Amino acid sequence: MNKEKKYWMNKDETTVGEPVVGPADLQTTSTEWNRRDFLKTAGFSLAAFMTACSKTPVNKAIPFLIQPEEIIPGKAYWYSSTSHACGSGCGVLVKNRDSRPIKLEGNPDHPASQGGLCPVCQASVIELYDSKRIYNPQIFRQDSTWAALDSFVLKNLNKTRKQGKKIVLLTETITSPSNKFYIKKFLKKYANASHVEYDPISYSAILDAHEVNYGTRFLPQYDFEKADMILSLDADFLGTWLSPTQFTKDYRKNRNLDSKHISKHIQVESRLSVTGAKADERIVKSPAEMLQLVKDIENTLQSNGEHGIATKIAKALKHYKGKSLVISGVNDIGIQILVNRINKSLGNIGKTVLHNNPSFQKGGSDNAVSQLLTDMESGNVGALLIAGVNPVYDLPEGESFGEYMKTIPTKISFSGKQNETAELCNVICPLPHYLESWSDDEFTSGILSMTQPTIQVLGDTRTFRKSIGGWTGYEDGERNLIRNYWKKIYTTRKKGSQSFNRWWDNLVHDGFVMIKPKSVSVGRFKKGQLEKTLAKNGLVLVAYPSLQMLDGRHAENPWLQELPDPISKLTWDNAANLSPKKAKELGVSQSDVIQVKANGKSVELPVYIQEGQSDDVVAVSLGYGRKGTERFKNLGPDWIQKKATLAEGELVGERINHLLERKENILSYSGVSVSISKTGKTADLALTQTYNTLKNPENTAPPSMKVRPFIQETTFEAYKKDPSSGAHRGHQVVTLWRDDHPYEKHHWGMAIDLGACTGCSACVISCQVENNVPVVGKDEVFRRRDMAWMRIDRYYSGEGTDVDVAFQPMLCQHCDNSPCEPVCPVLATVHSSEGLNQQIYNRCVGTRFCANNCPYKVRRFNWFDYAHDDELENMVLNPDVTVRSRGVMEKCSMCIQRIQEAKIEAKAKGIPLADGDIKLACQQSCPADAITFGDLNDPESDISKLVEDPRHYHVLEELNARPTVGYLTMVRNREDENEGGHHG
Amino acid sequence: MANHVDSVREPLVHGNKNLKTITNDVLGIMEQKPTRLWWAGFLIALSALTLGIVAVSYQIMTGIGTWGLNKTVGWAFDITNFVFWVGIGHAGTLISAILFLFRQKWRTSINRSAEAMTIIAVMCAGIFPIIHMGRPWMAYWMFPYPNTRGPLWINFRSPLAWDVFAISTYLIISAVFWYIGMIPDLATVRDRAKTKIKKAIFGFMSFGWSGSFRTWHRYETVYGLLAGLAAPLVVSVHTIVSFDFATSAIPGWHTTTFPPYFVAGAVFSGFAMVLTLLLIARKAMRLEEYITVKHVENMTKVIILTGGIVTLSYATEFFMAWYSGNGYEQFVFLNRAMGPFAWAYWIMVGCNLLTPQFFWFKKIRTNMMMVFILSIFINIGMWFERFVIIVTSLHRDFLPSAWAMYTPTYVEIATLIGSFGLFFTLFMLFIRYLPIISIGEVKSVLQFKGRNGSGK
Repeated sequence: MNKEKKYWMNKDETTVGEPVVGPADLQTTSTEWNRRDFLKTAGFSLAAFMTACSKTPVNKAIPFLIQPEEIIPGKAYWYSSTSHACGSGCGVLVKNRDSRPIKLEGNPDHPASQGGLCPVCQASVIELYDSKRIYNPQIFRQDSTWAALDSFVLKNLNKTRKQGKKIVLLTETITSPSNKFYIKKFLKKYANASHVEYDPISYSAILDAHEVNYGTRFLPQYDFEKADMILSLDADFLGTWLSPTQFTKDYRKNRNLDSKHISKHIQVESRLSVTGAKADERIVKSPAEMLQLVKDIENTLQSNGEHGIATKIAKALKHYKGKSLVISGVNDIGIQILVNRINKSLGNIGKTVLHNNPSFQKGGSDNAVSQLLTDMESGNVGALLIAGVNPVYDLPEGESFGEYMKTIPTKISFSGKQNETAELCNVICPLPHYLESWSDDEFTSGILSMTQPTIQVLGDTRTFRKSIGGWTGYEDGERNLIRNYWKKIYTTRKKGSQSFNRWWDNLVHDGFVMIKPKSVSVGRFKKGQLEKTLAKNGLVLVAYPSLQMLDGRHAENPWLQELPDPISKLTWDNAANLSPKKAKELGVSQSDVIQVKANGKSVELPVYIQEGQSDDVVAVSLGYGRKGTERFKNLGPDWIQKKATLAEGELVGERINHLLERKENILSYSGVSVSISKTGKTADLALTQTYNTLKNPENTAPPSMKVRPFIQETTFEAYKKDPSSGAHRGHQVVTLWRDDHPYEKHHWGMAIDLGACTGCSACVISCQVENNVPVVGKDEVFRRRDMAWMRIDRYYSGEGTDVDVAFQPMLCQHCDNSPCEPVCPVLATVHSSEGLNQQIYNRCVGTRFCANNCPYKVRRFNWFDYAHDDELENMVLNPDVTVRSRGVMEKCSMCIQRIQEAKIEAKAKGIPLADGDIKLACQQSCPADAITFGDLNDPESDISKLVEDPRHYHVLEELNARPTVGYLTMVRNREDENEGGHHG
Repeated sequence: MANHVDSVREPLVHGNKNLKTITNDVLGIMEQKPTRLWWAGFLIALSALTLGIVAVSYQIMTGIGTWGLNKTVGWAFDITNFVFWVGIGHAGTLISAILFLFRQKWRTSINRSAEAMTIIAVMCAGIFPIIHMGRPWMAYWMFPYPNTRGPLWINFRSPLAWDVFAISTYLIISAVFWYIGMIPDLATVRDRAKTKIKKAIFGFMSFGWSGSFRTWHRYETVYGLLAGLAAPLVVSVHTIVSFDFATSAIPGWHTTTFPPYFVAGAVFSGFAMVLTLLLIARKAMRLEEYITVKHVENMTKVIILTGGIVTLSYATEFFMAWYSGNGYEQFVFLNRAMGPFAWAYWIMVGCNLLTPQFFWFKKIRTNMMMVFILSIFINIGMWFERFVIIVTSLHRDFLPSAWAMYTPTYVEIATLIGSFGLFFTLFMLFIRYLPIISIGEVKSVLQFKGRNGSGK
């Protein structure tokens, strides 16, 4: 996003254009016919037949009678807003075309996203156009009106109040100050009401530990930029933990190779996470060993004892006193107290661990949930209002929660979609998607983020704020509920001396405003008592949020379901990850279905053999087995040998939350003892990569090439001595051809920094959204026909638990001597005058010779006509990019539409195109800034400088295809005897 | 044409044939009602063809996705079948053109059917490049012709465009050559025709053949010229087909020895198919006296030779992979022999290297049943050769992340069966409705017991 781009805002609630079609108009699949329909159709058919020039029937096309000022058809407008896809609160820019949001990008000015955006948030745009959302208020499963619903709810709440029973408001962490205000009013109105917050992926232990150590329950802010030494204990902070986009951005800033020093990152974990994959040193410990390790580190720091690896880590931490950061993602109060102690003793508080402006991203309490369960069991709860969470699914006690709910007379769900909990409620207040609603949120103290609607609300929905506000006497428009709240209090929190109107306009325009931080009263540090924790040995379960699914709230998002897990490359499923050694011991192999049993409950999961994982662990991702995913049953092309994505009544993956247990009320994600038994069944795992290393298979490895040299890797020490360390030399490419293709104006090129790439897959989704890449379904992925233009290759090296992981984003390399071009018989793939390899869809006859001849295997063929039946969902399609029909080849176009747009804009302004004016979808989204794109003809451009960098190399350079996409050697900050060299 | 055959040599036609019996024998097949054996063969072939038609129609309606291909393996059964069928055709042209130019008289009783086989095989082959396209309804874009799209021409650098020329040239020349050679016999059919319609049809088809000296003279000149034209095609067509692979960048395909290797393989497989077909026809149509054991023996000798060349090519490929020092190339060959598709590789080696060795033994090559079985093995082996080249090279090429396996679908298998169905259906129709043996040419190689014990 260049600075000059204008952001648009809604000054009032209704300026966003009228929707051309609404969900109600799109019920084209309805088979019910009445007389009128028949007559209409008959008449229409006749007319169509007579004129013979008809197109698809126009449902409701309303032209702009008066063209709104500043709106030019075909031109995108950008609104700044805030993402509510995961709760970390990234600022986004919403790309609007013809009054509909089609793409999200990180707001470069927003302190949380800093321009990047995680795959989950990027993908969340399609959920706006989900025709299976709830579009009308429902009472007892029947569509109703808000007026009826309001009177029903108020009547019942009053009844509950009179009965003296509890009214419980159960929500996720509330980050919106105005919401907090209306909730407070609500609690005041109903004196017997209480508010319980919990996070589906619990961070409760961190908050509770702070309560123990500092007297206040809060979540500090972590500054990865200032941390020179990072010790992460099972915290997947580059993938899923707390605020991954922000952390990746900050982490990256302290890993700039130009500086004398880069941060060192040690990851201790029991499974293999993307953060572990990125770490400079990775130590594999089972959950029990981990607890011991943290204790040892703490001991060593205090008393200089000798504890092997713990001493080594402690020494390193001490060396970076005040510049180190220790974090843990283990939801265990013991470990978190130890982490607090370590950070305290290292003097990190106020430097890398910030108490002044704490994070409000997570505030839920597991204790409160346990209390609620007790209350519900005893029948004290008369009304339950559930917003933003799905306890029947989320909680280990979900089944009992559901049972208790049956005894509660008034159950109100605030939910945009049907889910396990909503279907047990008697009232559903449908929530709008965040892209069609107003909200104010303070995810981090001092940063007020604004969410504004970017489309006319598609259904008859309203926000939680409006419902709660309305029920407590604050009847007003969505926007005014927020505006009026801030009008009252803004003087106490604003910075600077703007008038309110000005302040508000800035807030809506920029998407955020810095306000005075809300501090917490941090007490004096108390050491705190460690509970005697019984660490369980033997095989234990480690449940983790997967990068795509998180807690499962996006389970109905087809893009995320088909996004390969960055580590396992698995789509459309969760699996029981077992280390190769453990699998051998148990006598199971990949794709075998096993039964995992814990606490008398069990689940059947397919086995995935995962390198680099503790032998004592079965790692399974959360967020699968959600109700609603049965919708994907028939996803994918229909043909005789098709296997349905799901069997009858099956859900995508398996829910494992019921296997979890609480330790002192705190939900424990790791450490439940499990037993495993074979079932004799097997399952198809839809993997996008099945060969996992660059090593040739033992029996077919030629002596001259044991390992394929596609990843260059070195250490920071070696790099400082020789910036070209790790490079493979000896490929002297000689050519007889003269350079007869001068690229006179532009010559586009790209470089991908393997040292920066975390494998997070934001680019993959960004590309999919930008370029209308279809979702093909489980069977097609299983058949290795996924359509992603950009994939992230993941290669392991090393043995057993001690594996290194390399990520290599792979896309069309836009070779100057493209092997694909000469082989096409009909000239459907040709080279542009700007060095791009272009695919001309309407000329392609589909011989697939180009794909066969592509050394990088980045071309994708349309094996079928992929479904575009859901007209509502089609609204997310980018109108600048052709939707490809069957039988044609496609591949990365270097976002040619973005290049053209920038060129046209520059031409219109009469100024030359500046470096950085064009940002490709993948590049823009990358939270690690790993991708650089630009003009190789411009010697001052970033890309030209990177091409000259000694780290720069091309994959398969010796083929002389002359790719214009290059890679930069991966640099790890580790001591390594054999400096650089082959990855293997 | 020489009309003297040395009486010391074994006669080319057995059974004391004279001019009349030859005409009666060959045309008798056409004039009688078809045998049950013919009906059985025809119906089986027709069923297979129907299956293929259903499969291909389904595939064209639904998409290439009905095949087992994926993002890594973009060709498999389709191009395997294509190269296989093109290869089959080569024996026919070799027999009818090259052996003609070399004055190999033994060819006379088999050249007509071998040539028919060529044309049918090329028709079978030609289907695959069309149906393997994602959008076969756009197949005409492969031809260079002035058009309103720019005009937009084809890519003359693409081996697939060369294929179009190679295959269409081959089909046209073979068909013309075959037809011209058949004209005198068609005239004979016309002359013997009992019904008016038949007379009219064959009269038209024989272009007013009069049988005069001048007609024969011109006929033989044209035939000789066409043979000269067709001869280079034996080498060129499969050379160009091999360019589909040889000009690519994929290890295992990018091989300069491919043209001779493919030509030898084509002749090898073609002769095996001629044997398969003629041994059936010989039995079914009672042509033992025309297609003699000597013919079969000669053909097995050609198989020994071309099989040897093929073996040498396999060895050369391995040697070159080692000698080149190119790791990717070496990997591909090790992967062929020991990778996941090793079974296909060893079927290929077993069928193509070992089978021809049996033909060194006279006992085996004169045993028609054994020759028949062995010829089928060679057909299988040569099909697998193309499968191995195409699939094993693609499935594990450069980037391990893209490595994938390939499994055919029912649709692909049905399409393969269908192509055999088409081949045998057309062949059955040929042996029923056209003179299967070149009457005129066979007559010319008869040994006439003249009054003086020498030629006429």
